[in-house]
Amino acid sequence: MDLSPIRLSLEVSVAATAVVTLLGTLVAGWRVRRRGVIFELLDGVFLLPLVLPPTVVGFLLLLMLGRASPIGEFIYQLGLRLVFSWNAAVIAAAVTTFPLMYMTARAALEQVDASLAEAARTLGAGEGRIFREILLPLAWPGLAAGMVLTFARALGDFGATLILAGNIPGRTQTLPLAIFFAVEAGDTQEAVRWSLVTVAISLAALGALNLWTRHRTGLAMRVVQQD
Amino acid sequence: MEFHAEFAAQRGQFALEMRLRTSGARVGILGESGAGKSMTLRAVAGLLKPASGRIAMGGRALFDSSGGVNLPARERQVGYVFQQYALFPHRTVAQNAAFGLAHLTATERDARLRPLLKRMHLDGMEGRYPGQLSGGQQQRVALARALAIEPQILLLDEPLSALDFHVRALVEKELLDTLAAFRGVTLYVSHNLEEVYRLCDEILVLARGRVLAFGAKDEIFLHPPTAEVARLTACKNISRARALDGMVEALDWGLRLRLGRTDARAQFVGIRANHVTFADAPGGENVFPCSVVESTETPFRRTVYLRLDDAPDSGWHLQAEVWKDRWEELKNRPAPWHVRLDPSRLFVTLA
Amino acid sequence: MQNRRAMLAGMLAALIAAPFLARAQGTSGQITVAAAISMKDALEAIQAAYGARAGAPNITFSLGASGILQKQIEEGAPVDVFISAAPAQMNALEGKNLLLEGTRRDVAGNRLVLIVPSGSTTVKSLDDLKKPEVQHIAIGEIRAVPAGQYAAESLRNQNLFDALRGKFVYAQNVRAVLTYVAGRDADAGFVYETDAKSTDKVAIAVAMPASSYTPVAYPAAVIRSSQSAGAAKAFLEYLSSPEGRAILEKYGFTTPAK
Repeated sequence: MDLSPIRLSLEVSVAATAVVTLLGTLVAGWRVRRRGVIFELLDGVFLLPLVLPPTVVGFLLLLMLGRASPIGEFIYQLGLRLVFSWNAAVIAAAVTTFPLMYMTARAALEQVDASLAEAARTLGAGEGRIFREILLPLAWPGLAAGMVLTFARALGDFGATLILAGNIPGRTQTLPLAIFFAVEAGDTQEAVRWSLVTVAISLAALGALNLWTRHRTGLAMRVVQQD
Repeated sequence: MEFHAEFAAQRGQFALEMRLRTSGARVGILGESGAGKSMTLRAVAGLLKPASGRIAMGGRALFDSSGGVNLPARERQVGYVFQQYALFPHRTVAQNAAFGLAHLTATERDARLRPLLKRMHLDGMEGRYPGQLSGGQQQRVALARALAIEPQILLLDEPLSALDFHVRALVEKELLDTLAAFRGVTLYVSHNLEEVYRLCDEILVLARGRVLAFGAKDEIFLHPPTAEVARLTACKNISRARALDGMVEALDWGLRLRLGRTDARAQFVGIRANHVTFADAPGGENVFPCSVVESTETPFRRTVYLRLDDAPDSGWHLQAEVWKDRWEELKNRPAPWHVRLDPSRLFVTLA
Repeated sequence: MQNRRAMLAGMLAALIAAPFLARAQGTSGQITVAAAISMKDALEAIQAAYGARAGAPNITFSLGASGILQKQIEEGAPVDVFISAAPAQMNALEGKNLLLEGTRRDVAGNRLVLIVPSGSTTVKSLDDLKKPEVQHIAIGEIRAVPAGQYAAESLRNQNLFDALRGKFVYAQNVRAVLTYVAGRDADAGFVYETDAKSTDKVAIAVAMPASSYTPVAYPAAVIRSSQSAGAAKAFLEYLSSPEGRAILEKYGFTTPAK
């Protein structure tokens, strides 16, 4: 039996989670404590993939990155084959999960006591050092929760992946796609098999992620909780 | 070195106008909540940008709106002790104290921190986390952290207000020693007069974003420039007044007073509660008959509310504070009592 | 307080009852037609023409891949008429006794073609598909999409399937294949002639040899559980009528000899 959907799902989800964790945290860090209408508008844009149905998200991505668009043609001329590639699967998963990580990271960063950053500033720290040494460590529990959410959602992405990355067994056919097409083909047994595999993998992967983040949280929280 | 802060700052609807020039060591900024005390500190530290003005230390401009200077907080060499200390909960005492010293080598850092932590009685606690410390210890860490960077200006925002009452006196004494050893300018914000009086040389009285008075502490306390400053420095006895043939008539008390220092333009006259004394016999200078309306106790003193027999209205007019042992002497005296308002302790204000 | 309670209860009851009421109404003037998505444009035209007639029922179309529609009907979806893009799905339903006797008939036919983005010159023959410049060939998911089945059959019969399978991108229906090729993300794709004609963003490169695949027949039938059998049968009659056939042919379908 072709086990590639399992490998692909794990690869894509891990890659998407890594990208989104980094990007989401940085963007949230940039956004934190800035006020103004333009930032509120930006928030709306960042949240869009969460509000739109995933298929629509995939379709919009295809419109923007497919060869029919100027951007897509440009990418093609650079020699990059984006649509129908493994990278497209990662992009699709990353775009749909970005809002989750962004919102969670923002909340986590904003609840860090503002006077800590101010104290650091008076002690000579630049914004980069404040972000790395003060905000990130103290926001860690929230960021960890965001990572778990992101991974879970990336694992389950269907609509956006199907449209941007296509259904190509061995290259982009993740578990959700495999399940869907098995159902379409009327092969109930295959669909059930893949579904059980997905459940097992999700529980295992999320359990492992939870353990790892809780371990890191424990290190940080042990010293904070003693007030 | 001269420290100079003259600026206007805005936050929402609140406007602050600060005027402060000092070569002294410790300036207490006194005022009620919302007067603009913390805002002043934040502007000096660079956490808040004034709309206009100049803030300079020893000729070095930290902020100058006309010159386009606005040094970021990290370049100002200002040590700030926050009201809730703002210790980094995920760092040890030593790491907190060393936070501003990242540009030094490990040996240099150690050389600077070791004596500092010892002076602050924190040696032995370097490895503890803030969550494991008492309030007084946390305050010392916050202070050590601010002093470690050898700042030119030290800003203390109500440093004792977060402490339990029984710890306060001890920590205050330690603070006094530490501040005495500090060679820069200290701005000490508090709403507690006694603290400010004990710890500082000069006092700045702030109300509603305006400087009402600034000067040496005794000058402010004993000769407040206005009745409002007198009230803000807890002077309990103030009466409307007018000058009359070299004396001062206290209108609310119905008395004519002789003063050591007076002014023809006097509008108010006042005297501090602890300067009100009792004469053994009637008829001396500034001696007036009175009766006790009521009295209340504090752990060490008694506050007596007096009614002046010659006053136009009823109710009490003066508060006197006497030590308990003096009260024991006084309380059994027969009426009428005679209160004496020492001419050298009375003051007048022009507003 | 009593009044408000009564009002809320009334609203709740109305909300819950609404779908049932709507359903009950449907039995008289409403039919649901599940049809292969490749018939979309033609069916819209038919709906307009049929609906203009006096006394015509309201037609609701449920369009999708024939395999999915078949599955839905098997699971009891309330469908009155089913038009499949291949016999296999209809046979499955017939085997489960889900069709109303005597109503099955073929209503249209189609031809399979290879399309390329319009203006593309890379592919002029089926062998050109083997060129390295051709990286993605869009084809309907073989087990579920009839057009994909036909394409696979045709390629196998021409001994091209194994050579090309590494380039396949499996789409969930023919319209998706069209989108991929029209957007130039796929270099070529297999669709019905009717689909190829629906947009000028694609051009027909090759008409698949008729002998290489089972003729594309669109069987239609009334579902046994239909609540509007009469209206359903009338609709099927219309599809086979000269008027209906004319519309189908206009959109590129072939119609079975009567």
